[in-house]
Amino acid sequence: MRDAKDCLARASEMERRAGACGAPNLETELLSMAQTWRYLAQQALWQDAFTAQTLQDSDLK
Amino acid sequence: MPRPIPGIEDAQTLAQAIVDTIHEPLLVLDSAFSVLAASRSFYETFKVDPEHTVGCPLYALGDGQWDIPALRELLETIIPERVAMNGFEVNHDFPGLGRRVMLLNARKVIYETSANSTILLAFTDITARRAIEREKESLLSRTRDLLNQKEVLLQEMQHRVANSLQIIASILMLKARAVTSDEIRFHLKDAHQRVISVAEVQSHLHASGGVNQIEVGPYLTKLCASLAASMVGDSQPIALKVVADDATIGSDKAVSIGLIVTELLINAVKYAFPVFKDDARVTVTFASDDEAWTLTVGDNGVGKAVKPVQGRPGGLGTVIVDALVKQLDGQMTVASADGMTVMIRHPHLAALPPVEA
Repeated sequence: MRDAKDCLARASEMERRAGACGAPNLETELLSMAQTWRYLAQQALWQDAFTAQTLQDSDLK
Repeated sequence: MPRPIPGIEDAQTLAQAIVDTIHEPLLVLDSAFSVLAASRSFYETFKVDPEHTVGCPLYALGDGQWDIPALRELLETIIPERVAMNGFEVNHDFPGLGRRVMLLNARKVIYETSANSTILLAFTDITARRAIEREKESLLSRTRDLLNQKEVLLQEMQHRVANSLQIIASILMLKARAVTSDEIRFHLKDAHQRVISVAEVQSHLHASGGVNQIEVGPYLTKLCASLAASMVGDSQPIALKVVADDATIGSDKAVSIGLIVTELLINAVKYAFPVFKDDARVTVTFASDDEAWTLTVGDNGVGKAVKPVQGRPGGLGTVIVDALVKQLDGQMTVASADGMTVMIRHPHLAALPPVEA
């Protein structure tokens, strides 16, 4: 699984490609993928933070 | 059999007419590569006139624009050896025309009545075709890349969905360990097991490549193997067997079937063997014919309890199975002899009777 930083890097890469491709259909596809990568970055943020916190809590017990 | 041309003059007239008629540029050269004749399209394409063409050495034409190493190789090396050469590609910057990709067809004509020979040299301008091919290749490459990127994205989505389910299951298990009430612990562990089951179905669908049609046999076999690994304890070993034909099924139905099998397995593991049994077994069967598919989950346990046990029948598992069977438009029958057998039959769409208006 990729972490939030990696997901955001992929989102930026998709946006860069969308800006450079010059084909409207492809641009829409790439922007949609960029949006999904940003959503995944949010998922990664809370999931990874939650897992780390849970591990920390169980270590403290 | 072709009719002979009456005289040599007529033959020359015919040859010239052919040269003038063909669409592609064509040159007729003598054995020293001087131009004997050129087609009208040659003059038009390469913007030269007959006065400065006929009788001139090919390599000197148009201020030496035809003095091309590849063309020399074709005429001086290949043609003497092979007599004919088709599809010889020359990429050259022609003055006034720009860079062009030309496909050359050359043929040496040998006469029976003369020691002289001539060479026919035809040109096809494939610059536009090559540009289209390059564009097509580039488009294909971009499409392949996009598909790869989408595949990576889809996999990441599936990993995150699985992770969410795993987190929910972990929370339930943490809570189950923390509570003091046995009943609450039972329900929390039950909920944990169900979330794990959903995660298993999701993960097995993911592993099958996300295609629309799922092969039922391998799907159920893998699903049951991992369910058995997580549910069947050492205190009561249960042999789990999957028997399935080579049927395939839509992924939407595969989800429902997976969840039904999971619920029935949970039920069998929990309630079919309240006392130790040596040869405890659960068999999952999937069979499909022209009319319908049938899913059967049977055990050799104690069968249906006379006094309803919590969760069997009428428990959450039954509610879930009922809902899934209804969603599938299937028919469920339960038999209790030598254990318990649940059979779900689903007619194929084509086998359904027509709906009356």
